[in-house]
Amino acid sequence: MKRPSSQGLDEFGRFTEPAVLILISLAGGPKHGYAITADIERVAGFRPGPGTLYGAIARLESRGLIEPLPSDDRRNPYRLTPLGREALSVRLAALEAVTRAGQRRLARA
Amino acid sequence: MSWLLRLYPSAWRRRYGDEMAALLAGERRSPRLVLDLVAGAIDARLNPQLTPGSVPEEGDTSMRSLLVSCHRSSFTHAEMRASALWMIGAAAGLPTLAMVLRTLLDDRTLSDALLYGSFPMALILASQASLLRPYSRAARIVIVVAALSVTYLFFVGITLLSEII
Repeated sequence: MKRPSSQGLDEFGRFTEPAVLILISLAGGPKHGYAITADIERVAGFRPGPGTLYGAIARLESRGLIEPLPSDDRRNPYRLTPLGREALSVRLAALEAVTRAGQRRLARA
Repeated sequence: MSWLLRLYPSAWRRRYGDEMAALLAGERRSPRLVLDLVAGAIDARLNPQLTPGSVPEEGDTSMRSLLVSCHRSSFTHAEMRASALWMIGAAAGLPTLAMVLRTLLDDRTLSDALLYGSFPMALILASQASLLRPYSRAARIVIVVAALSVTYLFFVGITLLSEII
């Protein structure tokens, strides 16, 4: 049986966390860079710098997890692809399993 | 602050420069922002990402296009394993082939050239499992055969030269 895949998200190094946050942001609908930054700040409580944001966006785009939408101005919006949705779903399920395990151990301690 | 974008590779600036400049316009200047951009520029130079826009168009076989599309930031575990197996196999197989040639042919030039060139030729063979992976099978065969031929001829020339000297 084919195992669900996080599509290489684990290979992003220091860009893994920003990449997951970008996917979460785009799961709420297409956004451009500024809107993604603001959304991440709202959800995660920190504001990724432009270098970090676009380092993660480039990795996500090159692996087909997000795609740019046509735009008239210079702020290109991005949207989640079906592959990106699958990767995010797998990643969140793994995080949820880790969180549950941690909480069970804390409760027993 | 957008002058810091000049630290990024030109291909990167063409793809993301305008977006980053628009984003930077709304950011407050700070040492953290400078550090983020400098670190991002170093990363972009060390790990340029292959975006769909940087893939050569159909029929575009210019050397620049080939190099751009080959310039992958990282390889998958399977690609690295396949490449390592090709490297080990070729590094063992090519000298063996050279020894066989030496026993079959009177002239040692061809077998010696294969022996001397076995390491770079092994690298070329291994690259088709990693660096050249984005290309079709046919394109990879053409590139590898051409590179192997040039390398082998180069070592034949070097061997002949060493015999003359």
